[in-house]
Amino acid sequence: MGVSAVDRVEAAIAATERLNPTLNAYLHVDFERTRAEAAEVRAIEAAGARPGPLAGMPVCVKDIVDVAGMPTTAGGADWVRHPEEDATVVARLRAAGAVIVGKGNTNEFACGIDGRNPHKGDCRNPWDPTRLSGGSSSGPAAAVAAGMADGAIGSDTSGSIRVPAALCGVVGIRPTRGLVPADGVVALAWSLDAVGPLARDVAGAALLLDVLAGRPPAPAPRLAVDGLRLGVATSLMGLAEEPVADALAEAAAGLRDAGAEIVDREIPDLERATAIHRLVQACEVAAAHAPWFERQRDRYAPEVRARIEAGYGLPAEAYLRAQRHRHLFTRAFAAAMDGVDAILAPASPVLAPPIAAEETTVRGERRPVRGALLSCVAPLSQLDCPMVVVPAGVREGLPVGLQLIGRPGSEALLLRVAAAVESNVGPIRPPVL
Amino acid sequence: MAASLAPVTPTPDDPDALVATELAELEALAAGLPADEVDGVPPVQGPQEWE
Repeated sequence: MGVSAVDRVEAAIAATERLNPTLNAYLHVDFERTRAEAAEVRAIEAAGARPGPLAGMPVCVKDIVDVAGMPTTAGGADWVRHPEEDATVVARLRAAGAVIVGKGNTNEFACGIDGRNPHKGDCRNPWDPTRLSGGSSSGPAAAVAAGMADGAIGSDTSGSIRVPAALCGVVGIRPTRGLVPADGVVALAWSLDAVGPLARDVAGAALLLDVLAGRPPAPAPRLAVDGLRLGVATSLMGLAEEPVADALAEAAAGLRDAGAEIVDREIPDLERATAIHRLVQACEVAAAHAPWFERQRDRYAPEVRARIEAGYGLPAEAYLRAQRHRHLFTRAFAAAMDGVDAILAPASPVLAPPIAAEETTVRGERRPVRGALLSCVAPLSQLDCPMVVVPAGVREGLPVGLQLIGRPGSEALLLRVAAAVESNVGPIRPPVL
Repeated sequence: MAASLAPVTPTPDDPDALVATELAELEALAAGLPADEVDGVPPVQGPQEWE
């Protein structure tokens, strides 16, 4: 007999009580309610009914996603709303039998990549609490890695699922944009935002994705990669520090041994792609915050305020020109994928940096931490493609994440590749805190 | 549930200067995206879906 819903939830609660004071992965919990929801799932099971494919899975929900009866703060200083209805993705989780543990930490308004938050406290990395968790889905990634949840919902605009998944050693999926509904989710940038799952393994992430997308669960991803042709993004791999590059090379070799053909593939004009992304995001985040920005401008962290307020200074023509260039980049990327099934790249070029670091070393050069963490994810975020991050090993006591990029709608193929990587690497867990 | 460890995110001194710096960076990035390269490229692709 498997572990009961109540046992799974109690294990997550116990881990949360023990670890959250250190990690700050959850901003809001309600254990009484969580236990009541677990008991409901058990009652359904006891009655001989099937409570759903996620029966008893304890889940962390990023605090930009509405959960009825819990505050949504978006990690902001004084910004809060009290939803009476679940976001569609949360309603789907509940209908599938999942149990909500609480609301996960996030960079302020999901506007950041490091997991730091001056208002709510920084989220810390379960592998080493002196290190960054990555963000902005910092709480969801840290909670899953530390056993404070078995699954999580995050969002990814510039890499906000992929980077914390990589730094915390969990699986994260940025789905094909539009596959997962975003109603009831505080927007960052409408044409870039994607809501997606995080989990400790590929099968769990795949199952969560099916539920979030509102479709019947598919069988667990097969490991077979023979016959696939996978392109290594040479320009992005060239950004990676040696421990990251070493782990990713080993993962690629494992895929080759499993029957995949591995080829080099150049990604077009990353510098321009990053510029396009920044411009589109700046304008859209300014528009998203317009309803309250003037009233709350002094309550934002200065860096976040700057990113939002600068968007008001750009002319509409610049935004539209960036969107038009985005089409050109998409075409160029599609051409780069010609003849390959998926692209392999780092999710982060560095291992999790120290939490207070402003700069990190990348290939011998000092670079701002923010820019380094964004470098392998932001330029690709304007594509509507699915992207999966899977742990590819541990170096210097910290996890390394492999990023897989596919054509729109190719999640199943990416998850096959991810399952093969996972099988080669084996389970990785943070050391006991 | 509150964290027991204090935030470590530093607070810059001059928010207005940060805004100006960010805007200048964005304007420079925009200047690097030539208009003539996107002649004929639509900013939005259709068709619209009417119910």
